[in-house]
Amino acid sequence: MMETVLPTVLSDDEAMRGVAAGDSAALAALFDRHKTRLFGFLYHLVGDRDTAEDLVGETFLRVYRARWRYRAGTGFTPWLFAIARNLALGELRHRSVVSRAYQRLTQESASEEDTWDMGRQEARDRVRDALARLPEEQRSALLLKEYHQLDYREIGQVLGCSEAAARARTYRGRIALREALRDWWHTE
Amino acid sequence: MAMNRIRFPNLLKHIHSECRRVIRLLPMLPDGGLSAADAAFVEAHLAGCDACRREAQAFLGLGELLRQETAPDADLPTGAQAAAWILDRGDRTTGRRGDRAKALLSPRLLVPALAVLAGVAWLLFRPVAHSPRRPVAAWSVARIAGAPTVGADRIHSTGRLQVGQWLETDAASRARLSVADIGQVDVEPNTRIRLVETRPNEHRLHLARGAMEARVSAPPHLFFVETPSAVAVDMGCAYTLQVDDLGRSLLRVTLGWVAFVLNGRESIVPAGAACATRPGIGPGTPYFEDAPAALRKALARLDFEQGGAPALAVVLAEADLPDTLTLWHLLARVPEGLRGQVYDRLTELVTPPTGVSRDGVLRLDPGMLDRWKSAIEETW
Repeated sequence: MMETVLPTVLSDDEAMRGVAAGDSAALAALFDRHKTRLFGFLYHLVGDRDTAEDLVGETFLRVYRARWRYRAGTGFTPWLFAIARNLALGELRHRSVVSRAYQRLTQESASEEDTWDMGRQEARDRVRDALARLPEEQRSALLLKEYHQLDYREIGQVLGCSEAAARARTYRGRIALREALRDWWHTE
Repeated sequence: MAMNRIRFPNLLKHIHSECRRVIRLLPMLPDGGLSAADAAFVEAHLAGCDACRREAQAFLGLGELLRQETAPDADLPTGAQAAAWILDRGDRTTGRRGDRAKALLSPRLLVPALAVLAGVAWLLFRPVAHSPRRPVAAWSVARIAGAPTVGADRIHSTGRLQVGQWLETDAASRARLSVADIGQVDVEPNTRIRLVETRPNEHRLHLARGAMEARVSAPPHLFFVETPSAVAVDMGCAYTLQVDDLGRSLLRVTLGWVAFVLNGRESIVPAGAACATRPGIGPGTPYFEDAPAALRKALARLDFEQGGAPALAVVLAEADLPDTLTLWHLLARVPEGLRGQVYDRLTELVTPPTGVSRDGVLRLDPGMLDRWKSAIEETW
């Protein structure tokens, strides 16, 4: 595979064209651009840092193997997140970690208490706890909307559903999250 | 540990009807997705209602609260390191198309390839009599666990399921069917299932009893599963289907949409929803699995036990915004004398679009029902 110096910031579509043409620098640029937010998405899905880190690499491996199937103009981010979500769901199914994910999240947050301001830590714990309890589709929809700022069309692409269904899942997720936090979170 | 209730269970029981309407609109506030009329209504209400105003602030602040819950720092490689790792593994299994093409043109492979091509040409064009039988259509079967059987033959690793044959699993067996090239069906323990048809425009199974999970990636109306009391029509989706010894079935959709039909009675079931059937009746009314238990029980009485007006009253009282799925189906199913109650509850949840009138809906005008369905589908 050839490697070129990228003179300017490539768009995702341009980078994918580069990847398909054998440009390893384009692949590296895509990885650097998306790895942090992709990790955040995966972490909130699987509830485990090591697994989420592994899945970031695995996701980009799938991106590379599917490079011929990517169609420019259809949105790289939703395509990437859809691949990542499918991998995460497979991981959850195969390892049956749905319940363990919740336990890990609880343990992990408890172990971090010394290093965080307690008030902020409590907020983090409660939100994390509430998120982990949401049905996966609502959790994904909420994360993609609020955390990653995708629009509903893109969320639908990631979740494999219509734009309307993506909107409905986000709506339900907001209600579920609000209900889960009701006893703790009050606004003046 | 999944949270099934997604409604406002405690809040809505004790508040005024105007607040109820506003509360249901508040989750849409962060998107700015309210219609002009709804936005004006909400704004006027919030000016005089402290409780709803606090609730509105909560929804508006939910995104920020969520964004504060950041993921921990990750130990991720640099792009260059990742690219090297990916290329090592990616090329090992797939290779670039150009590389493959070059490899195929090498003399080492070209001569055998030409020989194979010549053989294929001979097979295609040799002067032989037409075969009296077309090849028997079949799907591949893979054993997942135990000892599934096709006919009298035990599947040890992989096998074939021909049209007309039964695949059976006992309490310890599971198997996976490849649905031509469009998907997979996992056959669960204690299941009896038959391949009815497989051809380019139709693939059809008959599930006599037991359970299966289907994952299909194909255009709608290509994959069908018959049960004793309804037919599941795939519309690009994943779902599970169970049939008990009495022929009763339960469809649960996890992705996309499934239509459950029998004798002109149709239930459209989206992801997250379920639908039961009964022999002699057909598909019941679909419902979201996180709907209140009281709604689900009342719906079963309404669908299968002649629950009538009392059961309908419970369904209507318990219905929340997502339950417009259930209410829309009920419009055409309840007796004419009860239809107005369903219409009135639906309008409380979703305003009918222009051109949809009460009279038209009550006489089941197909155009109006479709238009309204398009509007309320957004809540499913």
